This record gives sequence, structure tokens and C-alpha cells, in this order.
Amino acid sequence: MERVVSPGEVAGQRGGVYGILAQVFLKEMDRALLRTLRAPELASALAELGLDPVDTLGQAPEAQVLEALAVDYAGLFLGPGPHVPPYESVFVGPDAGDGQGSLCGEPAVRMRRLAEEEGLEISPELTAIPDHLAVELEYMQRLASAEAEQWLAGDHAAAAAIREKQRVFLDEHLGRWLPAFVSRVAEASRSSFYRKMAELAGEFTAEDRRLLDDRRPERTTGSDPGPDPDGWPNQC
Amino acid sequence: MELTRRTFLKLGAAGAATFAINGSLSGAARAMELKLGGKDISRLTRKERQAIPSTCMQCVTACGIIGYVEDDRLVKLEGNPEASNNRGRMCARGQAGVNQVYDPDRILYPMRRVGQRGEGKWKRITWDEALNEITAKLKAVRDGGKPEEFVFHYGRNRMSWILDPFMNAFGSASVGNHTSICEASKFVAQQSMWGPYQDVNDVANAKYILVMGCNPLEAHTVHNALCQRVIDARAAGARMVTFDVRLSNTAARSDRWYPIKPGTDGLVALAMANVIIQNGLYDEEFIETWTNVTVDELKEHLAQFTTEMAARESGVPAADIEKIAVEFATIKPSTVISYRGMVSHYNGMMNERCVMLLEAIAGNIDVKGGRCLKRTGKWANPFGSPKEAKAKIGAVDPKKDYPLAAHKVAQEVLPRIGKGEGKVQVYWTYCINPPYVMPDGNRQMEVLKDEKAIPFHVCSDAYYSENAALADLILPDATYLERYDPETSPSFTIVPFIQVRQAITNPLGESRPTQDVLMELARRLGIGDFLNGIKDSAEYLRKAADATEGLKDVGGWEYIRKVGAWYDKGKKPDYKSYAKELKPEDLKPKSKDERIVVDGKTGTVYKLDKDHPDKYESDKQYVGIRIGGKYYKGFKPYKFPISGKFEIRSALMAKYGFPELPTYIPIPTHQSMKPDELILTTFKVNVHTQSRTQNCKWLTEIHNDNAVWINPVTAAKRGVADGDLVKVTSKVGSMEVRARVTEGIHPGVVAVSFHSGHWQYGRYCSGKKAPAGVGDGEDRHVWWKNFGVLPNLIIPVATDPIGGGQAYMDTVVTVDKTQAGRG
Amino acid sequence: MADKRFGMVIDLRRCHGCKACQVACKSENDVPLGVWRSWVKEVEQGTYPNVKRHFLPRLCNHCEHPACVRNCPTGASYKRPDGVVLVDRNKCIGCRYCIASCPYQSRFLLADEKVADKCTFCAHRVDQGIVPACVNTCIARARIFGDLNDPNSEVRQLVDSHPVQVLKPEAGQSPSVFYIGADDNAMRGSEAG
Repeated sequence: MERVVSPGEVAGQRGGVYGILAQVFLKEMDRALLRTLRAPELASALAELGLDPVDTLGQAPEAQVLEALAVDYAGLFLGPGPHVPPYESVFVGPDAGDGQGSLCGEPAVRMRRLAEEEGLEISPELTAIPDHLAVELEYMQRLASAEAEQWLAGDHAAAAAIREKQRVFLDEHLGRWLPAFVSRVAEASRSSFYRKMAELAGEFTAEDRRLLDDRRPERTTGSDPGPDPDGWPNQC
Repeated sequence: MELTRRTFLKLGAAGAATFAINGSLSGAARAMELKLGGKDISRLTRKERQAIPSTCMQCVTACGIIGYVEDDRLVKLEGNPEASNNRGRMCARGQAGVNQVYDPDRILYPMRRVGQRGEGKWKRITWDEALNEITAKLKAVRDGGKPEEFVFHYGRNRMSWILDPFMNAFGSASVGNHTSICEASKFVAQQSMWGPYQDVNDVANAKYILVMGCNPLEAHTVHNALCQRVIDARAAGARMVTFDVRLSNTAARSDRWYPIKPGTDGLVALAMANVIIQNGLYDEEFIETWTNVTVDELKEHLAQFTTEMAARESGVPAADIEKIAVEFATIKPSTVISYRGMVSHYNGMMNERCVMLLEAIAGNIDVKGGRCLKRTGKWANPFGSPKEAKAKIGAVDPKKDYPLAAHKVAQEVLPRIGKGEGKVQVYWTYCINPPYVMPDGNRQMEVLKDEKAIPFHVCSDAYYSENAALADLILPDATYLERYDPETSPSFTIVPFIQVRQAITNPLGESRPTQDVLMELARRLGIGDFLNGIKDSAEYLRKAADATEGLKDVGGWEYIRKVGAWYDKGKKPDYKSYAKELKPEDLKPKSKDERIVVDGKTGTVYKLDKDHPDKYESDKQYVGIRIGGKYYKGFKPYKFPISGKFEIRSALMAKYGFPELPTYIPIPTHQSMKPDELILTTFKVNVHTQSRTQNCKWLTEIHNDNAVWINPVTAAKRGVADGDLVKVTSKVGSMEVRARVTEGIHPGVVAVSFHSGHWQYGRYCSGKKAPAGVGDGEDRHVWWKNFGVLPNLIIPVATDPIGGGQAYMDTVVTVDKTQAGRG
Repeated sequence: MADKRFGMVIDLRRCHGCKACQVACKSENDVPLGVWRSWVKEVEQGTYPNVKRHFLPRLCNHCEHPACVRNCPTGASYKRPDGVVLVDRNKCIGCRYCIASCPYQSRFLLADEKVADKCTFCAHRVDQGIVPACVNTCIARARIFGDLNDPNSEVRQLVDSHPVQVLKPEAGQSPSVFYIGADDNAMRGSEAG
């Protein structure tokens, strides 16, 4: 029988996924992130998700891998030339269509306000364009972490409120444009790493949205969890 | 991917532990402040929007604009009512400036090429890395003792205030421009006659407007200012006739359109001048007093240019030429607006000389309603002035081949570099796109791709142009809406003005104004003394404003950052400025090394000094002109040491073996055309500017595809119907393009607009989006699928031997049908 | 005091088809690609070399008797007392009946929001005393906007002192947009631009 994971742990784990994804899309891979992804724990988790870091990230020396990934990253997300700008405004709003929108549209304005509400500002690394994919992923990571804290503190109402924020954010922001973004990346990718990471982001976000709908946030599998040592009522 | 929730969360469990704090969000929210924006609210704004005045750069006109900001974004642009030239109005291109800032294909980071030049593989680098590399390479050039091997080639340059001292301090005069693909031949003609280049047609006060080979209602330099005044004049009853190979909007809105054979406008002007002279309708006083020819000399010279001759060559009926000549001379004030269609020819410089002659004998020079010298505003310069660099490579300024090409020969720079006329170590392009804008782009690109000819290519641009694609290092330029410059433009109120260009919004991404980049490079290279400690362009502009004559008395920077423009409200138009009498102190030497002398024959008053001890050889020596015992300002020379009179007879021209009087030079390639050959011309439209507005979606939505305009009779002879695909072939190459059969074009001419056929420059104009192809069915957004053709690719490099201008309007072609129906 | 009655005069003796108005409107009103609230129709006529080109700036005519308002099933399309015809997006169900009803093809569907849209005479500006964006930008000062009920307004004086035309008078809708100096050919034909 599966150990029942507490709601706080689930929130923490969800945040962890968002965190990794945010790191991957924030900028070109650096040595630290490469080693992190190749570390046994993450590597095996990635492998279960079909992302074999040995295969995806190559067996070549670090410097070579990083250079190749930097060229891929630029070609996909920076340009110059045809690329897939990773900003919500490009996919949502007037003229967005299949990724044709202009930069810094309404979604960017709203994203900055959301960040400011949480006492956050956009890193200069993202050069003040607030609706970058990494920002939205990290925003979810922070909300999930905050939710985890509330579970730990025993404030279930506060946790529930943050879950609602996350639902709304996925519905109104991240979840709205990620599918189109993932398709575009899939078609434009030269190598498999970023394509697979984009697919992972897309599928995880969709699954996460479903997870957020659960009234029993501790459910992690389809099987009957049995009596809960923490005293949660059994509401199958 | 076989995924379950559990496997996701396993990833999360592993990741949560290793997740680093350094993400995209950080603590402590902080409001983003706009730098130095004016805080006043314009009467046109809504409450939430901040209004910041600035100056446009969607074309060269430099209209005064207001940018509206909301949530730290530029949301709307309008004309600035305080701007003298455009008076609060703004054209389609200006309105689309918002698209320039938020173009999804905009380059936001320094990029270094990976793999072969032109392969299209890039990686992002930091500004530090980029500048380190450039500094090292430029240091090596200087250390090698040949600074001229650093070539800077610009297109639209509104930053000469920093570029000039930078290049001078570096020691390189190898500065390429674009002028000869534009106005060079016109400028040279004017410099040979009345001194400064560029004219201002005071059409607001004109009663008769003659338009020769240009299109002020759609394009033309200082477009907006001229266009609105043409319309005002027309509304007040002014007559307008247009000579053009096709029905431009200007021709369409004229009283009469006269189709004309390309390159014969100058001859028509001479014939008209002849009519005027023969009928005694000329301005005798101006000719006899202020020009260097007499009426009798003109009568003798012009006699050969009969209206019959002009009619034969140009196709314009002789009776019409005569009629227009008489109207032009008697319905006053009158003026000729002349430019590209008349100037971009083998005989372009001479054509402009003919038109200047026409204006002169009609008494239109610098008078109210006539063709006026330009009045531009003057800014103080807080920089030092490094010694002028002289060393340059031949390719950049081929004076040996074109002695009078005072504005250089841009179209030959790359071809000459390719032929080895000067070694290049570093080639820096700035806001220019040679593969697209120059003739014979394939030839230009051959040289750009050649790493022996061009070992290192740095490109400053905000967009991935066809040129940027062939760079080694791309520096992301800021757009004009994110930068600072002191601005001015020829004034259509005939009273000079200055305007400010200031950042309406902060440079997006890591883009940086190239002005600031040059300033930093100057410091890194150790040549930054001239900077006088000024850090960046914003500081430069503040200091300049606080020191500028007139402006400083009303508040300097504080005034102009809010209002956007300034001019001396007490100043009136000073028509006939050439006739202003000099004061006694103007005639006194400024130092004991100077002597003021007069040339007995020409009347030129000039100074002799250490640099020029015994003769008049430089325009810098000019003081004035003596006529009838009095001393006048005259026509102040620029670059050419002309006399100070309006020079119809040109000793300078004669010196280099060119005709000394305005005359007709038949275009050689047009003299032996076969019966089935036609002449290809190009043209501009009212919603675009050359090569650099096609990333603006609102403009490209209106004009994306293009076609070849062809007369119905010409088309019928070739079995071509409207919409058929045809092949247009020149000696350089061929292109396939849709035919637009129209009554609005000369039967011997075909015309193609010059804004389409991009193979880079973003998704809206090149169709290159990742991924390729549009969405299925309902793609209502970028709904256009054809991106047209670029005529320049089949136009050869063909230089006007006198003025140095490129002949875009002379190309002999054949046109054949290839496929029926819409291609 | 009488209600205002907003109207526009377009002086075709001045218009040179520059399309500044077309783009200014797009910018001011965030109009998506593929549709326009205001646009410029071009008509060429004649035989070489006697050829002319005419321009006809188009926009919603904010008619006195608009079929779009009459036919709207939800009341989303309505006419203000000052004459401006608008669409209430909250009530619009995207049935397109108004689009079909308009004799001038001035309306279109916003594809994302699935509601009807059209020129609003920049009511957000006009209500604060500012002219519509198209009027503001016009290089030729060919568009004049104001209160037709005010005898001192420029629009009133122009309409009173010049022969003016409206599009498709036979439709009986009494447009509030008047043209001076129109060419008959340009006024006829497809209104879709």
C-alpha cells in the first residue's frame, strides 16, 4: 500500500517540479544546472518521465554539451531569426494566433502586478519582461511553496486560498498558452532536450491543474490510500 | 512520455531539494521608473497615461511626436503639436512605431555566431563579452598603425553627434553612408550651384507646384512637413502638375499627370527654361546680379533645348511643355519639387542642375513660395572636438573615380572591398541593410560572406535583417523610442527649430542605444578624452540642452524635455538670405594670421590663413560676395569652393571634364534598346519606409505582397493579363512576380515597389516564423501569405559618374509571361 | 440644451490616401490584424494617360436610423443620445445579425472574444473632450469631427456651406459621416474597401 503523502509534501513536490522547469527555461543551461540534472536522484526521476539525461544531454564533455545546448536555447527562444519567444503576450491577446503576438501585452502587465502582490520583482536577468515562461513557472513554484508552508503551519484555510490562486493562475495565464508554446517548440526544435522539457512542462501543468481540483489534496495515486494517520476523513 | 502524477511528483521531490534560489523572481518589489521622462500630461491624453515628447525615426523626416505610456509600456504615438514641421500630425509609419518596440522577433541580447558566417546559428553572450571582443579587435587595428582598416558603415544615422568624434578620436575616416542610394546626386548638384545641400520648397505659400520625379504625398525627404503644406496650398487654390513614370498618389492628386520617359526630366526642365528665356518671362535681376551667367549667355545656351527636342526624348507633348513653362513663370509664387525619380539615374546629378537652373531663372531661389535654402537648428556640443581623421580606405570614398561624389558611393563600398581596394580588419554596420537596399544584393552578399575581405563583421541593429544574418557579432540596438539624440530638420516654417529625442520607454531586454555603446568603447579604447566626462547619451543631451543658444534662456533641458521642441519665437522667415548685407566686422580678419581678399573676377571675398596661404581652394575660406561695391552673404559654399554667386556655369564641373552648364546627358543604355525592352523603375508607398518598417505588423498588413505595374498595351503585346506571373529579366538576373496591369503607368516602363521580398526581418514580412506554415484553417491573424519580390536584386550597380548616385531607375529589362492566374 | 449629435466630415479635396487614420485607429483601439474599424478605399479610373485615383476613408457612419441597433436581439448594439453607436460586449452573443444588417459593412466579429466590433468614434477620447485618433493624426486635416447640433462647430459649418454626400442614402439610415468632394465612382460599389 502506498504511503499517503501529506498535502504539504505534495505542495512542496509540485513546487519542486515547477522550480526545475523554471530553471531550465530561465536561461541557457549552466554547469550547476547540468550537474543537478545529471545527479542520480533527479536523473532517475527524469528517466521515469522519459527524459534520459544521458541520452538527452549527451555523454560528451560538459563544455561541449553546454555549448550545444546554448545554441539550441538561442535558436529556440532568443533568435535572432525565426524562434519561439517564450512570453505569454506572444501567444495570448490580439494578433497572437499561433505565436504571433507582440511583446509586453496585457499578460505582461498583469504578471507584473501579480508578482508585486506577492512582494516580488522580476529579475534583471529577464530584463523586465514579466510574462516570461520562467517567471510564470517560478511564480507557481512560489505559490506551491507558500501553500506547503500553510499546510505545515496547520492553516488549512490559507492553504486552500493559495490553491485557488494557483488554479486561477493556471486557468488565466500559464495554462492558457503553454499548449501552443509546446507545439511550436516541438516543431522548431533541432535537438530533443528542450522539446522534451517543453513537453514535460505542458503535460505536468495539465496534470497539475487536475490535481488542484482534488478535494483530497493528498491523493497521489489512483489506489485507495486507506486510513490516514493524520486524521483526514476518508472521502473516496 | 508515460506520465503519471506520481512520477511527476517524484521529480518534484528530487528537485525541491536541489532547487536553487536564483530564479526569475526576487524579493522586494520596486516600482520601475522611466528615466527622464517629462511628467506633464498632454491635453490629448487620458488620465492614466503619461505623455513624453520625442522625435520619430520611422523615416528621415524627424517629426515631433508624443509617446503615451501606461504600465511602463508605450501604448500610443501621436504627433507633437509643438513641432514646427509636422504640427501635431503623424503618418501611418509613425503610428506603427509601437510595433517597433514590441516586435516579437526583435533582437534583445548580444549574439555571437556559431558555425559558418551566414549559417544562422547563434548563441547569446553578455555585453561585457561582446565589448571585450570588439575592444580587443579595435585595439589591434590601432596598434597596427592603420586605423582606417576599421570601417563603420551606417544607413540611417541620427547619432553623428557621437559617431563623428568617436571615429575622429579613433583616427579612421573610413566611414560609409547610404546617401548615394538616396539623394547624393541631388545634393552634389545643389552644392555645385548654391552651396548647402537640400532644399525646402516653401509650398505653403506657392500658387503653382511642379513635381518632377518625386512623390511628396507618399514619401520624399521631410515628407510629412512638405505633404501637409502641399495639401494646404492646394486647398487654397494652388495648381499642381506632376511628371512621373507612373500614377503615384501625388500624380493622382495633381491637376494633371504627365507620363515621362525615365531620365528625361532634366531635358524637359531645360526646354521650359528655354521657353521662359525666349518669352522674356525670366527674373532678369536675379540672373544678372546673383548668378554667374548673363541672360544672353543663357539664351544662347538654352536655344538648343527646344520643346520639340524635349518632346521627342521624353514623350511629353511639346505644347504641354510650353504651356507649363509659361504657367510656371507667371503663376507666382511657383516652385519645383524634384527628387528621386529624377535623380536616381545615370544623369541624375545633371537633371537636378537643370531643375535648379529652371528655378533660378524663374526667380524662385530662396523666395517666399519658392525653392529655399534649408534652415536647421543648432545645438550646443558639450563634447570636445578631436582632430579630424583623414586616413580612409579607397573603397569607402573612391574620389579618384568620382571626384565630385561629395557624398561618397555607398553602392560600391562592398564591391570595392571585394576587389581589394583597401584592407578591412573590422567592418561595423549600423542600421543599414546592404543585401536588401543596395543594387545587386547577391554581389553585396558575396563580399559580406567573404571572411578574407571582411574578417570581422559587427552589426548594430534591433532586428535580424538580411545584413545582420551575415554578421559575426550582433549588438542589440535600442529603438528610436528608447534613446536620446539632439534633433533638427530643415524647417518648413523657414525658421530653424530644434527637437529632442528622448527615451519614452526603457530599452527592452538588453538592448542598448549604440550611442552609449560608442561612448563606453571610447573609454575602453582610451580615446575618450573628447567625452569630457559625460557618461551616456542622456547626460549628453541634458548638458547640450542647458548650453544651447536660445533654449538655455527658457529653461534648457527642463523646457525641452516637456515641450519636445524649441524655436526662436521672435524670428521671422529670412527669405533671400543670400542678399543679406555683411557687416563691417564680418569683413575683418579674426586673427593676425588671416587676410581678407577679394577675387576681382568672381567677386568672392575669402580669407587667406596658415592652412590656405595663397589661393581660394576651400569652402572654409569663404567670407562673402562683393557685388556692385557692396558685400553680401551670398550663397555660402559647402565642401566645394564655389564663388558665392548662384553658379549656373560651373568651373568645378569643367575642371573634371564635365559639362560646365546644365545640359542634357542621354542615358547610354537607353539609346540602343531593342523594341521589346522596357525600363524598370522602383517606387515607395505611403505606409512603408524602404527596408525597415516591414516588421511593423500594422503596416505590412496593408502592404506585404507587391507586383510589377505594367501598362495594358504593353501587357497585351506579351499576352499578360492582370494577376499573371511574369518574369522580369535584366542583365544581372531575373525575378518572377505577379503583374498588375494598370492604366497608371508609361507603356515603356515597368515599376515594382521597394518594400517586399524580405528573406529575413521577422515573421510579418519574410514568412519565416518558427515553425514554418500557418495554423490550420482559421489563422485570422497573420493572414497574408505572399511576401513579394525585391527588385534591387536584379538592378546592377550603376553609378552616376558626376554625383555618385546609384541609378535605380535606368535598368533595361524584358518581361515575359510565365504563368496565368494568381501565382 | 439640446443633446449633442456627433458627426464627422471627410474632405476628399484634402485626403491623399495616406492611411495614417487606418493605422492610428488600429493602435488606439487595439484592433486585431485582419479587421479594421477605419480603412481607406482606393478607386482608380480612366485610360492612359488620363487616369485618376480616388480615396475614400471609411468608418462606421453612426447612423441616425441604424439597422444594426434595430436588429440586435439582445440590445447589445445601442445608440447613445449623442449619436454614437456602440456595442456592449457583455450583452453581445456574437450572432452576427448586426454585421449582416449594416449596409456599409462597417462591423466585424472579434475572433477571440466572439463579439461584434466597429468604430466607436473613439468615445473614450470624445467623452474627455479629445478628438478621435483618426482625426488627430490626419496629415491633411481631412477629417473634421464635432457636434452637428452646435451651429458654431466646424462640422456644422462645413455641412451647411458645402455640397456634401453620404454613402448609400437609399438605405435610409441617415449617416452622420459626410463627404465633401466625393467622386461618384468611389462612392459606389463594394463598401468593404
